Amino acid sequence: MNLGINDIREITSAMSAYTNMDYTEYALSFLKRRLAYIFDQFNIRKVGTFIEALSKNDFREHVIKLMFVENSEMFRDPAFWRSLRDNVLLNLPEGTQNIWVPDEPSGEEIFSLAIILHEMNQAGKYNILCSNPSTSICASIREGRINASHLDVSQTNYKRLENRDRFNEYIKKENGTVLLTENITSQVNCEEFDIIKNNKPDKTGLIIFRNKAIYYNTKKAEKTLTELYNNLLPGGYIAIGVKEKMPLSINDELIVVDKSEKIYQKPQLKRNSHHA
Amino acid sequence: MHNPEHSYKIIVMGGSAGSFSVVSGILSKLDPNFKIPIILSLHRLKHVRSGLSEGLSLNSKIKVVEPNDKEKIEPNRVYLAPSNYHMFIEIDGSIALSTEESHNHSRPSIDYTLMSAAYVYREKALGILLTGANKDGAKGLKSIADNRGYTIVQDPVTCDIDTMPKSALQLFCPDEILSPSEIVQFLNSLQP
Repeated sequence: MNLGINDIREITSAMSAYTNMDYTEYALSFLKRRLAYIFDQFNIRKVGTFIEALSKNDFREHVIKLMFVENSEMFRDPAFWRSLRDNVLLNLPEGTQNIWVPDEPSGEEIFSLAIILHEMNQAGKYNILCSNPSTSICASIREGRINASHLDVSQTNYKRLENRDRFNEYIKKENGTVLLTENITSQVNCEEFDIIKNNKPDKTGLIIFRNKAIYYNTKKAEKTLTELYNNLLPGGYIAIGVKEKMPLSINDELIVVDKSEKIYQKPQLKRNSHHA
Repeated sequence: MHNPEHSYKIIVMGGSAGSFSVVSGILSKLDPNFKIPIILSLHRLKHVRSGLSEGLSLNSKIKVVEPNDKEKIEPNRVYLAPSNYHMFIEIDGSIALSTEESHNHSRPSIDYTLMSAAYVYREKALGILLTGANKDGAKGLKSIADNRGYTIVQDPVTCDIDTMPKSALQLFCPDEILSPSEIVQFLNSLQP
């Protein structure tokens, strides 16, 4: 299916009338291929057929799920996770209750984090929270499902990170489905909400938002990253993808924790030095 | 055939096994003032993030960068697709990266980069497919041809592994089949 710019605008305009379906500020190149992929999945050949189908709840839920790009693997960029473990996880600001992975599409990021915190004996200290507006994605994450086709590369990444071969201790296979073990999934919460429109979790000391804003246009990427940054506790941390940039408007105040792994810290509140 | 008056706004070069030395050789012999941006989509190890752009930079006459997402494409630059990301060209002429599913077991996928260049630049796109061990790139190069852009396939006789160029040749008839030294000559002839 070859969608033109006008088709894409017509489709996103129709989608935006429904809850959690505002894709009007996504990158056009992404919309072009992702919508074409969804049209193929449903064997839809006409824009009008797609727009008509949006009136059905089940169809919309499928579309929301498919618009999310699954994480490519667990422990993607092992050097990032090493830096997070060594520089961040033991230094979260006082008062941290939440560690938040917004718009988690398939669980691999939050599960990687939960395993690392488990191995550091830190898991019980925080609410390890991810969010996604899709009911079926959240259900899948709560169940601990991961994509079996990513298993080999995830295992290799874990070995590169930890220099040991314990990954299989966290995996179980049931009727052809690959699941994380309960000691990991029980630490992870998934809540159904959209990161921009809904109330964000407060007392958040760390936000991991890697390779999500690459699908937005520049305006939405900057707006979202700024909102996430503002949602952090003073002294909290934010991590983005290694090929992403924080918005210029907040770049000057950020403390760079790891330049190549794109981990940043929000400064602590300045104490008032003027005393009466 | 190539019209010397025709100007190209983008060059996309794709390659896999054996392509590093070919690309390095081409970049080392280009005019240092070569203006047309070059987009490189080369198959590479997913877990090795550094080394390739540094290696290509050693002899290149033009600056080689691994772009960030949303980086504006500028003249006189070579943009290398980062490891474990697909690289697309956005409609406003910027780089768009993606972690979507592998294509032909590859991320970056050469097909994806070529197809997005074909869509954005149409007859102003020049696609070059080099040596390689799978069929990735063949459909992408054909999409450049379908949009009236110009297409070059490395002569299979000069390839370390000829699967990739032969896949393209089975799919359509490119404008040129050239050796690496002829590709250099061709590119330098595009300079005003």
